[in-house]
Amino acid sequence: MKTGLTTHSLSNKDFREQLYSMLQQGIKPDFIILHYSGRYRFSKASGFIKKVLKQYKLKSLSYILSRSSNAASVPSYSLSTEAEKEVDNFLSSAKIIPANGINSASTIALIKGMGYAIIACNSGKLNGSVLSLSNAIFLNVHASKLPAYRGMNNVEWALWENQDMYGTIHRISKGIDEGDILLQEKIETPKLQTITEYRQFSFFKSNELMGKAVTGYLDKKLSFVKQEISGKPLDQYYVMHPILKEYLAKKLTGR
Amino acid sequence: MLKGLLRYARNFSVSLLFKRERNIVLRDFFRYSLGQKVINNQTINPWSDKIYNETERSEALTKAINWLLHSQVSMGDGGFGSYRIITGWTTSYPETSGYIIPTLLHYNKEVQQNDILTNAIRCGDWLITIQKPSGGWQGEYMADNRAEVVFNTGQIIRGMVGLYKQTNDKKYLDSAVKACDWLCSIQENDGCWKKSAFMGVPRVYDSYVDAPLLQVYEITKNELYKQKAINNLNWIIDKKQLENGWFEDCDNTIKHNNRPILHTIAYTIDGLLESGLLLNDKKILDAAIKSADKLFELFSKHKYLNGRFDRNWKGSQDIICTGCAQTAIIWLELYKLTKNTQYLNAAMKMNDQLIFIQDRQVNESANTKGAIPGSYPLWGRYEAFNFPNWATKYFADSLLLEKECLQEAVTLSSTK
Repeated sequence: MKTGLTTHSLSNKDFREQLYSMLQQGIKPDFIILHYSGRYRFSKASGFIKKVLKQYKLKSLSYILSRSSNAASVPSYSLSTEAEKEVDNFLSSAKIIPANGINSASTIALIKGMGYAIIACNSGKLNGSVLSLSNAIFLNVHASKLPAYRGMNNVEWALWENQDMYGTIHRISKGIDEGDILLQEKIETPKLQTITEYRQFSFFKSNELMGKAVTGYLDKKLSFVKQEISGKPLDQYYVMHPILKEYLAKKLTGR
Repeated sequence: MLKGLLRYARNFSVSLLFKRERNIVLRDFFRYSLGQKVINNQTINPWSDKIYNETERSEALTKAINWLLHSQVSMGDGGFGSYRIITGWTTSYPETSGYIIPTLLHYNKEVQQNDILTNAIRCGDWLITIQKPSGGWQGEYMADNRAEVVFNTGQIIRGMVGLYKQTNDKKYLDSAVKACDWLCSIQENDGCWKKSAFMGVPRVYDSYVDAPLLQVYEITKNELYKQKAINNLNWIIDKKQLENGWFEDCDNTIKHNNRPILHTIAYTIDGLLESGLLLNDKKILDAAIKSADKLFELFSKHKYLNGRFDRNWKGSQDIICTGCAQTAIIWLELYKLTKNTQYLNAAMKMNDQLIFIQDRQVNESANTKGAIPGSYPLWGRYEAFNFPNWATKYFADSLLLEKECLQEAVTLSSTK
């Protein structure tokens, strides 16, 4: 069985962390599908830029300065310089396949032609025609416990409810975070100060699980476990209201 | 159809004649009609990125209460009316005046402002003077001079119970008891109310009558009130609620019973929920939760709720603001019951939308400032170009309850 990754950018942080965790486990991925982000991402990005411009236009200079100074003070959980070098070395000789959007017909045909493969996916939403490919298993990293924390802002909600942090590698399926679980581990989390720090930490640690999950699957030591999903709308988490986030931030800093 | 179109044309043209009213209509036009965008087949509504902080929420609540009080002053008799852009103030509406009383009492508790209590008492005293010899209260506005109606009577009982609990003055309890006796005397054998029902047709939203009946039962221990409420609740759940949570006979018209308005759907759910809590009855609570969760699902998916829903919960028509506020209240009550923060989270997002609608940012007269319109945009089908007092009442209720729930949620999260 082949191993691979998908990404819309070789500098994508999650992609690089997952690739590194695979290299650490002795897996040299057979291919990397580098796809265009597509119109969806373009419109999303332009929407984001517009929103930021609109927001900042209304904010005072001191607000902007305080935002940037806060951002600078957040410790970053990311690959070390050596690890980044190892990733770059691998990428210089890796089989990188340029493709159209991840859901495009040509990309589907490309994946179909790969034979059996397990693919760590960093490509946004996959549509039904991609997910129905019988030769490919698409994996996702979810920085929380499943099925408990399906949906949005799962790190924030787990913190709100004072629950432990988990990292989960699961198969991507049609529903939101509903796919079978390949690996789930508790993340020992130090006391951090901000939501951003907790998010960075838990995503970083969750990405580290990818190599272990893929190796375990290839060595037949791990298998997919079905999630017990109730299907009730309230068993899913939604974007946390900013006022709740504000209170969560205060709680984390002990204010 | 033609009549409706002519009415719309008249409403639009008249509202554009007056400067302040024109500002409101044009503001809605620019914010709503031009503010909507479609990205990747998804409609992005103008309120979707509007978030209001706690200070702004408090200000919105104050503005809403001030408008209600202005409405009472404008009536002169102690009741509360509604403001229509085209024709100005209506006369007092006994039913809604009745259920505005608990809102004022709740606000009074919050701000400890005794003159608000005086306003509530003034309204209650006026309602006693217009109680019919039967014990019921008339339907619609005072000027309509209608016969007594079951639903309307139930809502005034809420006010009477509130005032009795607050002042311990027996006249309010006597009035409520008289009304309950009348309600019990005219209930049909199968548990519904047909006689003296609005348009002579039984409605499921009479669950919102059952709750005040049970409130009076709690005080008087008159078993008849409890039994009659249970009879009606069973009729609703066993005969009128579908498996997917939707209700038959839920609209306040006969013509549109196939797609009732959110306002009456929310009445029905809230009545079930309140009654289920008062009776501590799982069957009734489950029936309420089933429908409330469906609205939660639709809101989470579409980021707003339509004005009407058919039996498959397919939405149609513009936003009906009062229904949105009532739905937020239901979710907040469910938060209190279940401690599931997703209910609170959704209610807060709904309140953001309503504050956006209230916050028109134009120069307004006291007749509209702080008021919530019937529909959004203002020219939507429900109460077009009107500011019905019940929309603002439920909006205020929702903000008051949100504040309580938020405090509870923050405390729970900090102490878990």
